[in-house]
Order: sequence, then structure tokens, then C-alpha cells
Amino acid sequence: MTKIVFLGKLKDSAGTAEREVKLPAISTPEELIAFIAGDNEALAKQLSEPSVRIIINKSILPDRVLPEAMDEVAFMPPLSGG
Amino acid sequence: MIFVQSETFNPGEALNSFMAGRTEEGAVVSFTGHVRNSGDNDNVTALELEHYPVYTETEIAKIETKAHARWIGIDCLIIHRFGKMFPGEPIVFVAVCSAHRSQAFEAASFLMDYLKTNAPFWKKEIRGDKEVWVEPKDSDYASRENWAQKDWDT
Repeated sequence: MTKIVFLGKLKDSAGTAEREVKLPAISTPEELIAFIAGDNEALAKQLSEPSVRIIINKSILPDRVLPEAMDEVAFMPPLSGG
Repeated sequence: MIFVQSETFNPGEALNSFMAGRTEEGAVVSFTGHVRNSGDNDNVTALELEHYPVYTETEIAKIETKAHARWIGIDCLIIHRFGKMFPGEPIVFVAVCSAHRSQAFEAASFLMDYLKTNAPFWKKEIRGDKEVWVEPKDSDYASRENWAQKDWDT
């Protein structure tokens, strides 16, 4: 199982801060987003925005290739701290 | 040293304990950020800051490493809160000590500019029964870019 984490405002569209899913065989961020968003079009649109970063196993995805083992996937909107 | 915590803190005590026993540093500069009752909107009754455990600490450590690479010999203390907090409470604290003042002033400013843009936190303003996510500000990015334009590896 993979833990999916929605950070900041993304959790409002997702309707939850996190959930557990069994990921099918996927290889691109687009496929990942399509699977996670399902029929939630608003969420799919938000997750696809260039400003939203994908963090896998607590590290930012350095390129567009997904690793085989994904224990935790987080979607990160632009930061607003301090 | 980096502390990411939900508890409030006393900036004066943090500064004193940071400097306790030091005899080689002739300068210390500290900054404390407080929750305001007017942010992007008036009548802010509380702030709620979300972080992403482990990732947030890791990214703040990268900011501290950048500062150490740029100003040799400094020491830093960074405290950043998460969770719910109210106007008047401290939210972020940075202290930098060094042998001389210019390094301490510059590094403290650098740390705050990078914390504002690179530290993984998401801020929500609570106004009565309304909650609004705060969007990042161009002015914060401009402050950070000022450092990058000084021909350093940032």
C-alpha cells in the first residue's frame, strides 16, 4: 500500500489529508495524478499545475521518472510559511 | 540547531541559552516573527501552519547548510512552529552568532529570506468562522533572489 498525502490547500479538493491506496503499475507523473484523482476533476486540475511538486518517500521527485517503490507520495502546493 | 515544534517558546530565553558559555563570538543577531492580527486580510483570529514531518526538517537543514557555506564560522539557531497559534505569539525565531557583527546580520537576514520561500509550511488564516489558505508572495521571492544575484551558489 502507498500513503498519499495532500498538503496545504490540496487537502480541501481531495477531501482528506491522506489516504492509503494500492497503486497499479504506472511510470509517469501524469498516470499517477490520473489514478489518484479518479473522477475528481477539480483535484486532477490542481495536482497537474506546474507549481505543485511531487514528493516521493520524503524526497522531491528529481525528474519525471517514478521510482518502483513508492511507500509515500505527497503533493505539495507552493509554500507559504514564516 | 533546528527545532520544528508546535509549542510556543520564549525568544529571550532561546537567545540566552543559545549564547550561554560562548566566549569566541562577539556578535549575535536574532529575529523573531510574531503572528499579526492582520495578514492578507483583517481580523485574523488565528493562524494554522501545516508542515510535512521529516521533509520540513530536512529542507530547513539545507537552508542552514547554505548559510554555513556562505559565512564560515557562524552558528545558527532556528525555531519554527507549526499548528494553531494566535496574534502576538512567536511563530519563527532565528539567531546567528559569529566573531563579528556583519556576518551575523547578513546570515540572519539570509536565513529568514530563505525560510519564507523554501521552508515547507502552509499557512491558513482563520477569521472568525472562515479559513483562507495564504498564497506565496512575490515580494518574498524577490527578497530571496537578491541573495542569488550576488554570484553565490544558492
